[in-house]
Amino acid sequence: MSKFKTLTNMISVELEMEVKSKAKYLVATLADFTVFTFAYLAVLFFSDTGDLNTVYRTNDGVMLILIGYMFWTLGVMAMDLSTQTIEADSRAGILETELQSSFPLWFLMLIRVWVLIVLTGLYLLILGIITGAMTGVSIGTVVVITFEVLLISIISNIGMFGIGLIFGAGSLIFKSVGTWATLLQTGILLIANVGSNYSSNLQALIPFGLGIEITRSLFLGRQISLATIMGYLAVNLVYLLIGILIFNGGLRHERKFGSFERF
Amino acid sequence: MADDLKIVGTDITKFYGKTQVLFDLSFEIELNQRGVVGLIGPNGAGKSTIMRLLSGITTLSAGDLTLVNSTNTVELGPWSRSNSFYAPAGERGLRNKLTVMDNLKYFSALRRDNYEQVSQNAVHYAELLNANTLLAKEFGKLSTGQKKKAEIIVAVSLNTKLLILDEPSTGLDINAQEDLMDLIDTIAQMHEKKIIISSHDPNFIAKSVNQYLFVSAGRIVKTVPKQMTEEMLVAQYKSLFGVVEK
Repeated sequence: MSKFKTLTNMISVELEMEVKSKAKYLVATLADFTVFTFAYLAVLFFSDTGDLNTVYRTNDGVMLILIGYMFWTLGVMAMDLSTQTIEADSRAGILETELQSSFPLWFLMLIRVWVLIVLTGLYLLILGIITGAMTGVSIGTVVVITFEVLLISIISNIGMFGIGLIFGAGSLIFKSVGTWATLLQTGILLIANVGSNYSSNLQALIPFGLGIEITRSLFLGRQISLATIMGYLAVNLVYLLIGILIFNGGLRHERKFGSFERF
Repeated sequence: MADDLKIVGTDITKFYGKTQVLFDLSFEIELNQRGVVGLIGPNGAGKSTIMRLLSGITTLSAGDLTLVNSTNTVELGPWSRSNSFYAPAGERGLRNKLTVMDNLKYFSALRRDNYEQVSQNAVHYAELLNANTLLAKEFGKLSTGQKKKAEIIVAVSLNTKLLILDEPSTGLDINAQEDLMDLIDTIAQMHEKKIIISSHDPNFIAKSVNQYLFVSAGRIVKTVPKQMTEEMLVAQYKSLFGVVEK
């Protein structure tokens, strides 16, 4: 097989197997979504919708929060996948085989991310429709918002995936880093423009910070500056590159000093 | 494989963190000669660690592990990652929520193998192990012995030059062990595939193995470059390690 054909074959097989696996873990996936729904309700409760309405000169503050929350949820999913894959695959004893493959492990995990993103997208669509029904926003508008979030968050999910790779490297070496990842995700939720307006350029350093603003601008029919788009791309590219570098460093360390089998 | 291809390990040491687990190992494994290499020793001797090094999954702390022929000496790791398959010990090695055939499809994609061909291999080897019905079943729902069989079927079906099986007989009943050794024997004799197996059970590996590396406490304590009868092997095991483990 040509290199291109083996690459596309790997992508399609990984997608197929991930879909089949996820279908078997439906209960766990639904439990995850339940937890995320509580997080959404908490964000709605603690956010100042009136303040958002004033800053953005709109009456759709709740939808702006929904957009922020969608980015955060998708980002968290993309970030968690690295550590989850490493921990699950080493327990199952398949990490060794995956490490023997000529396809880099981070690439295999990146394919799996998209299955998770599509599944999470369906959940967010339902959540959006419910939110829309309660705030008088049409289903059509919610579908458009969800589609735009899914499209624009491709970039920030890659950045969040890059941060996840850093935790993945930690997971390879220190074995259990899940708590630290959760702490970071909660911290991001508090300081990012998820349930609030974009108030500091430091928020642009959060992978989805500018993505939220781009989508909010699209929703409100406002112009988006080229600098915002370029900044969004650059921030996430840097996170991905740093993530891959650190993850590969972690792999080299574990190859030399570890066994990949201590779970 | 080239006629004079061999794996050469020289003064290999390996640390897990600050703990040294292998001590100055030196050995040669001829890849051109058909047959099975047995890593034999009690639990915790370092067999799995050696196998992970041979398969290129982990790297040495010190020493050399090379692939040598008459004209070339190259580092073993990169070659192994493309040409070997490591099947770990225990009820592990395949994705739990997938069927055995789906696992085969996944691993063949990982290794850039032709799935049509390896799936035909799987059907053939499953027949030899009396395990045809396992292929369509979900790995996580199989019994211990069935899981081991499934793992072996996937491992031998893939296109590899070096097959590394870590404690393949664990969990198998006597009949299944005999079927497995027949299968390993057949593959070793008929195919361009070198097999390395580890075991702490000399009764299991005596039939097919024609080169032994006896391992104890991270050291190779003896090498025997020929086949041994079961009685000879058990006697050798007892003299080196004491009680024979099952």
